[in-house]
Amino acid sequence: MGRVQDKVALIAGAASGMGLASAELFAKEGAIVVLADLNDTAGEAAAQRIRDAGGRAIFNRMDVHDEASVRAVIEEMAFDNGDRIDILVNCAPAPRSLTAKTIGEN
Amino acid sequence: MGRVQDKVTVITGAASGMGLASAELFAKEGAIVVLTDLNDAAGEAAAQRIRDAGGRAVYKRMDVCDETSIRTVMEETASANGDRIDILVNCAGIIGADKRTHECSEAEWDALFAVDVKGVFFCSKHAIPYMMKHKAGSIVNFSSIYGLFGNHEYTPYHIAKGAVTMQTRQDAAVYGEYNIRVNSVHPSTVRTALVEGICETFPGGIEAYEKLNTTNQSLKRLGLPREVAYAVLYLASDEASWVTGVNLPVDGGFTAR
Repeated sequence: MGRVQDKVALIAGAASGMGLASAELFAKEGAIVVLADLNDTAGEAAAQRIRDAGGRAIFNRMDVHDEASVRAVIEEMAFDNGDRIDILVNCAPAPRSLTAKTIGEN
Repeated sequence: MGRVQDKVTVITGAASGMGLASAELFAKEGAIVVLTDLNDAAGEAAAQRIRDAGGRAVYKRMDVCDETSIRTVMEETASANGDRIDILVNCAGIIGADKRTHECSEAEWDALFAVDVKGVFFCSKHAIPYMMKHKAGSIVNFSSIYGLFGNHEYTPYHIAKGAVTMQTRQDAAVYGEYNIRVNSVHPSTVRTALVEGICETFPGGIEAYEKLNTTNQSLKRLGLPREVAYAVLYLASDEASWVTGVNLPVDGGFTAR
């Protein structure tokens, strides 16, 4: 019994870094993980690695700047998992064009 | 492999409430637990229950107001466990008199501070040298939401728990170079045996008490001891190996509002 057993978890920014570390750990602890990111290659590869290790994970392309993209991913995810989303991890970082410095300047 | 596997853990105030919940959880997660308290009967019984369930636990009488008593327990614990104390959970505490500053006597102030402030100080003082020897250790102090914010009641308790908040940050700052982490948990009202006792005579019982005490919380229910114990477990464990100096509210959202 994992620590997030059977929890349906959406992780934004899951293709690398802390989002990826979270996705891997959640899957190891029993969650059903949807990795969302703009980096298809790294995201698909990460989901595949998790599945190869016995975890449950899929990758979905999602652009957190685009509400329609986000809604589509969430609707599909809920549809696939008994109308549930149990956990949301908002990890997607700002792209380089939106660093804290430029946000501050704007 | 438990989350605190083979960690030598001293827990104060472990005979009841959140200290007991922590002791049970740590033992379940593989720790070697020393339960300390002044209530010998409850402490011995708790340690026995943990052993019966397959855990490793002993009870030792310890008065957190008595430095000699504390030094003895720390020495005995280290001596029996390869000179190690890996984790210290400072849970023992009292709430003291519900008085304002101009009403509080020196005796009331001293009695509260002896437990809530000096207790944490003495226990940390005598556990830290063992942690320094091994360049590893984790201390979790029980403060309170009252150690973060003021309100209209229990002034001495607020001030005492504020001291625990700052001892947490200060010890974290000082002992980081020894890889000793120091964090605190800050519960709001938790459904311990103490609270259930209060509710026996509270008008309207536990429901009315819960409603009154959770008015300013996001989650409109009292906490459970194990919900705090899980926060203690995380902070104490190597999972939190990059977390130190944190004052973590475990409060149903009280401090978020």
